Amino acid sequence: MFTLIVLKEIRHNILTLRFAVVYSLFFVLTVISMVLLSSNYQSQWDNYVRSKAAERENLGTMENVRDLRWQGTKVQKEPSKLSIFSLGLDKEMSRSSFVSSRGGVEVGSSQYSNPISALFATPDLSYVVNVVISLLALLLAFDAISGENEEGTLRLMLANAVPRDVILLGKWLGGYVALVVPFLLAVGVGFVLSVVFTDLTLDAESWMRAATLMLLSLLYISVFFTLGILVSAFNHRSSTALMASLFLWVFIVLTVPNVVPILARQIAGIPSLGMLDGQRAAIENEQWRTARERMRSASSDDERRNIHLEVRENIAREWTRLQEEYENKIDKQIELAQILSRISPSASFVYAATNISGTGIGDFRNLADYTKQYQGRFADAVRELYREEHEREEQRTVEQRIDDEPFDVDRLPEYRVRGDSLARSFQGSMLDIGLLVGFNIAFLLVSYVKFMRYDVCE
Amino acid sequence: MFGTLFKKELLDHLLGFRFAVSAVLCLLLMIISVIILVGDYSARRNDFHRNMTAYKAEAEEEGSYFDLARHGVKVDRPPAKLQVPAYGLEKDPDRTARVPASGIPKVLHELYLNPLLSLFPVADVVFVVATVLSLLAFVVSYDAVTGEREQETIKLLMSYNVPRDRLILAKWLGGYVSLVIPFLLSAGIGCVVIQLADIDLGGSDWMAFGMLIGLSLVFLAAMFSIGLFVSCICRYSATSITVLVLIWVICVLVVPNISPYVAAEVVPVKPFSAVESEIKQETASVMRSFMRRLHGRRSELRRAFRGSGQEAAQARQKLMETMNQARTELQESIGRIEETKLGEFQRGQNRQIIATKNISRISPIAAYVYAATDVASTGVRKQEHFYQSVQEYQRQFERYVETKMEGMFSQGFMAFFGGQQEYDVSDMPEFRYEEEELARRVDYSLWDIVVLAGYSVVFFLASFVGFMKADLL
Repeated sequence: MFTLIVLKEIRHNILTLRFAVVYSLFFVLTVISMVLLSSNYQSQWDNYVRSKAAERENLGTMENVRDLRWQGTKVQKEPSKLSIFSLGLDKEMSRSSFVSSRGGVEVGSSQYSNPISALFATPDLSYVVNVVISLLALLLAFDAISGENEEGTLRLMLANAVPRDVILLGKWLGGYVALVVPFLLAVGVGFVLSVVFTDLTLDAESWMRAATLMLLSLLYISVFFTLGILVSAFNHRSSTALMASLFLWVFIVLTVPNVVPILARQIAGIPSLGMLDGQRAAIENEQWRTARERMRSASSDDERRNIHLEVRENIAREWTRLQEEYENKIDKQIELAQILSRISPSASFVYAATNISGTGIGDFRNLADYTKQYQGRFADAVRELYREEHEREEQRTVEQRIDDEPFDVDRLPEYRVRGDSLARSFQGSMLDIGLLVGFNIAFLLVSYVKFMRYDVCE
Repeated sequence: MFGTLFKKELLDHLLGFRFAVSAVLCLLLMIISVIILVGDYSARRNDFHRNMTAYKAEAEEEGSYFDLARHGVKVDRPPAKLQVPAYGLEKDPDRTARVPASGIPKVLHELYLNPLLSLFPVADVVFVVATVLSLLAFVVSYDAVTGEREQETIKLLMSYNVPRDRLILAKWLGGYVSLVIPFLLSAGIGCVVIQLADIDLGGSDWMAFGMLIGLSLVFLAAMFSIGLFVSCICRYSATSITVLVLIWVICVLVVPNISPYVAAEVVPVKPFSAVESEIKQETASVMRSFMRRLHGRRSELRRAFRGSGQEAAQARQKLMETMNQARTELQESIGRIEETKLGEFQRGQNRQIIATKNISRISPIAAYVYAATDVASTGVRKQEHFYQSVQEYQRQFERYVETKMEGMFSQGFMAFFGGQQEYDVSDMPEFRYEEEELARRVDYSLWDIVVLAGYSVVFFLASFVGFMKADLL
């Protein structure tokens, strides 16, 4: 009986105009999105390789360590492979940074320099799923019950000895299968075309990530499909159900995630950067003022030098503390925005999808931390090279010293951001995945209860 | 006759469930968005003032005009007054630029900031109109003709002496008015909220705001006409809504979003990082040859500084002059390298932007968003204008520092290098950013406005002709 209903639902779904349109739409969309984003990844990767080679050449042409000290080096994260599915924050993370041994880190501009790409959302696969397919899922589900009620076939069906729960589950399964099988097919075709048109290759871990992403998409699509059934079970007329579905969709997908981050910025405000600079300057002045008094009373040069060093250390420590406090405030703000926006499954999906693709908020933070840490290692390496060169110079006569002495580029630390392992990424998105599962169960339960009490005669 | 038809259409819409849902949605979204963005504006304005004060203090801390010229001053991009209705590119987090006395002003980026704004679009008025209201325009119009045909009321209507043109005009007007009533209402409430919050919009700002609302009305007319047209050519309401959702998804969710990526394929631009590397390499090689020349003259240098007497002093003077000249030349050639490379990049980038715009203009939404953000001065044009203003400020700053330094020089060598100089930056020119004049903004976005108006006229005519030829029985 159950299989009969499922098969009937699938057939019913596949053979209508609505489905023909919906299928062709998400087929075309998925394929276009994947091919464009793969091609984008390809050019990002080429740029990355080229700029890395150029930087290495640049380092090679430097004539001595002093050049390196004042010029520093340029580093850039390699584009995330999974960005073809979910570009996420890769736009921000593609910024190159100038790392110097003295000045710290100076962040360059994004590789995505076309400002129009900031005016509209990125059309990656996670966007297609998040916005387009969620809408289509609702459109396929909104009249699942109310439609049959209007046509009177529901009454006919219930006149037979079919339990209502079997009907509901059959409807859910049939509709869902009719929705996701074409989706997976489209992703498959998109993937094949991407491989053909761009030389895209995925390693084992990327495959795992891609598979996880697909499962996540299926879970998310199911949330909206179940929501559609729920709305349908609440209504006796399809037109009302359609309006209600659209209302909910606009609220969940287009409103909450787009409003909450700005709201959170107001609730958990962070001081402006100018204020941070002011605080830094105040600390510096204060430290030097006290140091000057101590230096005046110091008896020997050695003591003075020690005071000097101590003050520098103090300032560095205080600045780090200030910076950490500031970043913690940013983290709090982000956390608040995330918590508030999670009332929308769409936000949860975006957080989880970007996390699994290595282009999420956690990865953004990791990159910043890594770059800072790299700066320290780079400074150490340069100091070491400089010391060695200095020692060698000591042994020479004055006339020899001017000769340039290239340094060994391989002695510099390698800038290689290691993203989280898949297990960690997965762990990081557990909450969001759990929420999506929760939404699914809740919607299914409510529609079950509602359908049990559905008044067919109305 | 027309009055009766119009009244019937309007009441039909206003009393329906659909209108109730649309109106609630529209009012809710617009008001939430305006309130939140007004709060955002005042927070940003406070940040802006605080930052500018801090930058001034930083400049005072420099201690010498020489350091001031070298380090430069920082300036912030003030929040756009019309960011409330059209947030546009205001979500770009990098608002600070460092302006040295010579060389290229540089936008500063932060290593770590709240990245959520880059993850989701901002729900401003333009967003609500472009996505939600355009969808509602289809929802209101999809069964305008098909619905009546299905209920067969149109047969009844046509049996009376009603000309078709009147009927379609009444249908258009009735539906359109019912669509824009909630929008105008919420826009009015938005104006009140903006007025109550202390955003002091000037006359031209209100004008721009009015134009924004006008553009939205034109855009909604285009979308509504598309809906009516599809309703005329489809036999069933179910078909018509399906086709319209398809059109909506393509116009709103697909075309504008993929256009930058398509344009990147069609008009590739050398990435900025490559430009940076090139600048760096060429600068380094110029630097090196300068250093080499310096090295070549080191024996001359030594002699000049060791010697004493009139002759040596003259030689010293001459040497200093040539060295100064060499340094100026070096700075100039570095500046030239930067200017050429960046100019080249900018030109390529502009070509890509134009290609992106042209590709995306097949969707009325894109034309609307471009026109709205440019009129509100939060669009692509604003970025250029801000940069030009910064360059203009740099010239002022350069002049200021130069006159100050000349003053120091005239007081003598010791006053300049000896640290005994007076240092007072209270008369330093301030960076005052003025938005571009409204007329020029409109002029810039004229093409988008024309495209948008063209869409609404064409689709209105299409729906008119479609209804004339429709088989209503």
